[in-house]
Amino acid sequence: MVDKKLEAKLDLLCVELLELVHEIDKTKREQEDHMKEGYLCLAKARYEIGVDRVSQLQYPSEMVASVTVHRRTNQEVDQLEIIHGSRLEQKQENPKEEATLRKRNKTNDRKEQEIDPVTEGKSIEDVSQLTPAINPIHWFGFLVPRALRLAQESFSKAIEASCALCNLQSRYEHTLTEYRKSRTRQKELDDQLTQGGAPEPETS
Amino acid sequence: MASSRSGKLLAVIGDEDTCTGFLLGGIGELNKHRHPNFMVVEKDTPTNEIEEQLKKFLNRQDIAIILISQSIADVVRHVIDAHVEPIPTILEIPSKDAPYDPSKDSILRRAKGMFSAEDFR
Repeated sequence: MVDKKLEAKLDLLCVELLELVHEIDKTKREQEDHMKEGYLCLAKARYEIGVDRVSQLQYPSEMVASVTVHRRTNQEVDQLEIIHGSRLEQKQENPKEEATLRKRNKTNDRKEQEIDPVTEGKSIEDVSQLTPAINPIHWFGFLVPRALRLAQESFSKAIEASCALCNLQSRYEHTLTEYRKSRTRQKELDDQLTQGGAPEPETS
Repeated sequence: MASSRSGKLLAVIGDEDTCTGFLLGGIGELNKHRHPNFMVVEKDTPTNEIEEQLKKFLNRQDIAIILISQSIADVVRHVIDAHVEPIPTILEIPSKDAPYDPSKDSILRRAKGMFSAEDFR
């Protein structure tokens, strides 16, 4: 007897895989469009303010990411989500950590004014890590052309598309593993049937 | 449902425009050892340097996504194919001079070989 439940599961997984491939392809094309737009705007900005003004020569010696990703493990699949704001800001949002740091300064009121609660107790190297994120557009000047702002918008959308693609890839990998497992199980059942033995009931 | 506490970084390996664009988006960071999370690849950048940088990014715990231009990914394909861990995820992106080619993408190549003739017997 053919395991109807297993066959239905395989069909479902097959459809899900094809849908995911379609979704990956669609999101890749969206990402490509945003990047194309971004490259074009960067070229326009270069034309307006000069070639060397929009290049790696303008990268600062200190930079802090204002866009990070947060990892969530949901139903055995890793999901990433974009967080806007520097990691310093995220740390400050943590109330428990903040309370501990405030208590430490409670005994000396004068010291409290002098010592920054965020940087206290940290080495110089760590403090440089806590440099607040500035808008990267200001690396290229304060009165930047509109094209550079548009390029920034386009690349921000490309970052969001990249995060969505990573999530789709994780889901694809997970579904593919499930499909392969079920396919192996079906093959085992088929082999048992051809040999004439009774198939073992499915455990999972 | 579990989640990690602090945000992780995105890294980028690409030409100057790709890196500048993504850094404009706000992903750039220099850590306390002054190691950047990006690499600008020039025409004369040796392959072993790209490979070394990619391996460094793969070993960093604070990086969740590595964006790499597809044309550069082609020269370090063996490193990308050997990477099986879910985090950091390697994502191939189109570059300025080479449009995205789905036939070269590692995920879509695997999708192409998803079903064998044996599956339809």
